[in-house]
Amino acid sequence: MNPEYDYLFKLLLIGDSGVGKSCLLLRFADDTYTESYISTIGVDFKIRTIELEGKTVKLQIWDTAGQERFRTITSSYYRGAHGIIVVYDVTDADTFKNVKNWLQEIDRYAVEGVNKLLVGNKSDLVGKKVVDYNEAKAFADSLGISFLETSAKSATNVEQAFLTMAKQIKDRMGNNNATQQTKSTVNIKPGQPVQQSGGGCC
Amino acid sequence: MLPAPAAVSPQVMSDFRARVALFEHLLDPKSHSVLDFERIRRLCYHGIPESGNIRQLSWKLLLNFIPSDTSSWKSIVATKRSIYHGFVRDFCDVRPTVEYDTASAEDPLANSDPLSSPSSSDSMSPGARVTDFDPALLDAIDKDVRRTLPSLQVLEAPNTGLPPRRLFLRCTSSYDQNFHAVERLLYIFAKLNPGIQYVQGMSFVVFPVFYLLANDNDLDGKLNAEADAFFLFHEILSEYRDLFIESMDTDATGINSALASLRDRVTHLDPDLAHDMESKGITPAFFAFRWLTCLCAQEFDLPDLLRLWDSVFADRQAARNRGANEAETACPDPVADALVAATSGNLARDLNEDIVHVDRRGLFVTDFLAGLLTARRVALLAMPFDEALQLLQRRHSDVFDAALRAAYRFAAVGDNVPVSPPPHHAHGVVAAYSGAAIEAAVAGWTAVWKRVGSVATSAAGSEVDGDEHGGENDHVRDSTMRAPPPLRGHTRSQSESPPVATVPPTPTTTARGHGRHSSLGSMSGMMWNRLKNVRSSITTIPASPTLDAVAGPAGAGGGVSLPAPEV
Repeated sequence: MNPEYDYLFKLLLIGDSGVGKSCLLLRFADDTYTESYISTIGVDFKIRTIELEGKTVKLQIWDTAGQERFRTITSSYYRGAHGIIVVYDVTDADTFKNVKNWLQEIDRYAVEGVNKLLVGNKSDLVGKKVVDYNEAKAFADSLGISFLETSAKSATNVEQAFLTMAKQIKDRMGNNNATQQTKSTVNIKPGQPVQQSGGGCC
Repeated sequence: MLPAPAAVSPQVMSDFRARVALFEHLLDPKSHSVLDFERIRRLCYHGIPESGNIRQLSWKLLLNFIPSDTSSWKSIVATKRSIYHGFVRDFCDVRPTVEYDTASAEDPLANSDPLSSPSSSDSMSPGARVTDFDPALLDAIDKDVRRTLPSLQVLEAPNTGLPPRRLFLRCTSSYDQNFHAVERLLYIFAKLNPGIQYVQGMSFVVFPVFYLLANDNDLDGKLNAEADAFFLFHEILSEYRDLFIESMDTDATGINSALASLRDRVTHLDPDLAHDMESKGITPAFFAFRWLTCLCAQEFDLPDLLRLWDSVFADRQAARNRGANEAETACPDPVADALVAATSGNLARDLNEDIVHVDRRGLFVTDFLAGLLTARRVALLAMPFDEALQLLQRRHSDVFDAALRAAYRFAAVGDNVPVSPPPHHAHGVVAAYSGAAIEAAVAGWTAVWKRVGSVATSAAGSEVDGDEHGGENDHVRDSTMRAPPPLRGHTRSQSESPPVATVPPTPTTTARGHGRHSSLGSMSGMMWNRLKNVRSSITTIPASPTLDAVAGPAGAGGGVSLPAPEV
């Protein structure tokens, strides 16, 4: 049994540039917020350990650059992810439209059955909101994906988003206990960090 | 301000003043019809002093904005600015706005703005019309610049002399002018380079250049900061643009090759570290992508970054001149010789020794990044994947000096000579300390550099105000390349610095308390002197929380697990 944690889940944040991926991660991992968070070039990385249903879960979260140019680079990170959070900006309709493209990227590069979560960020900007909650919820429901509106600024639902993701992964792992994937990725031996193969995050 | 070269007295002239005087002399168009480019380049490689507009001028020279032939400066500069103004007209003149007119009318500088006169320039632009206006592109740039370069807000607004106009209609306050300038030049670059467009990371590269030029104490330079910065940026990108281009990713000049080069370089210089990182699964793609594409612009405070780029640009020029007989370019210059002779020998060494190995020319960035990794080696070796990667993705101001010193050494040894392993005694010394002290000190093993001579001097340059312990010479050297206070947040020094930096502080006032911002440009002598105080310096370094974790066993008396030295 690993003394530090029972599970290690790898999460990936994707979505258009400027929707607040890094701010969500900063809020979740460090519980801080800044208006002037610098844009992500390539990939960023943070960890946070949480308690979930009596188990210690270490979340290894990869934050990606949203701009088109970085797609081929970031796509190599999909493969190792247990869960992928697609983020859009509730004040920017284009970023919501592009969610479809991001989901296609997941289908193309991620492992089958990877857990997905749709997040509409910047919910604190009520006056500027252009993407309706119900519309996004219906869209997510049609795809069988969970959906949350968050605000990295006010911390609304941020914790909830990551916990939802973690819970879903844990449930999937529990149901799939016999699969090779579960054995190889979830039960980490003491003192052995997850091996990162070149080009991917696992 | 400074004594005229003729009045220089060897007895009273500090190395700093000597260096400044030498730069001023070598860059003076009144003294030279043709500048001694190679001599200037060699000096720049070791750092450009923070005084007057020496750095602005040097960068313009290094980045081919002005030629060595000083007689043509005026016409060439005028032509280039005129070309840029033409680009502004062609790409950005979309002004159906009341906002613009209002702002323009109220702006006292409007009449002096070269961009305000539609007939003021020739037309060498490609003839694009406003119909090519690309709001999506502008929006992408705008969103990025505003959130990533908040430091522009503290740059004094009228510095550029350009009133808000055209293209950028969101101007609400005076400091927005700086955003406009940066956005406009990035937009024009993207329009002129449709194969690259705008890629995130470019804003970080352009910002230091614009900041430097907008702080020029030469009014002409300051008022034309935007236009001039455009050309400098263009020149920088001409060297590194492939790193930004997705379709070049797998080519020899693309980002993957650059990442592989870094990995290979570390493997060559510090195989233990390279293998350790590889075994943990830490590949350069995870952390060095941003380092390379942004030329480290996000990793350090601005003064350090400017200092790094002095070497990067000078080194790059050396690569371009490879094969040319550089000795022939040196011409007799008695005044310069006298200035050099008046110092303790550091200037002469910088000038006479071209320490960049010919195989490494143009690769200073790679050597510097290898130096950065070796400066972090103790922590990296001790940390598991998660912590090591987080450390690497953090800012690295604390080991800037150590990394730079290592870079010089790596650049000098070239590809063939293996780097010395850490000496035994180094471990003995540093094992007694903890936290950042250990890292900073052991990082220095890579800098077992005959010219510098010690392992632990990185401590003096990184966190400690070594002047307190050093001699007078140290004091001066420490401030040799002092740059304006850093503007971006996250750093200890921000709160200590005035928010607006327009004029570089004078050496005497800035040497105090900012040892970290000292330069290594002429560090050798300082290092020699500081050796004597290494131990006391180390003990005063505040340990960082991260490294405390690593060094925990040491603090508890267990001793840090240091890598076994190779013999």
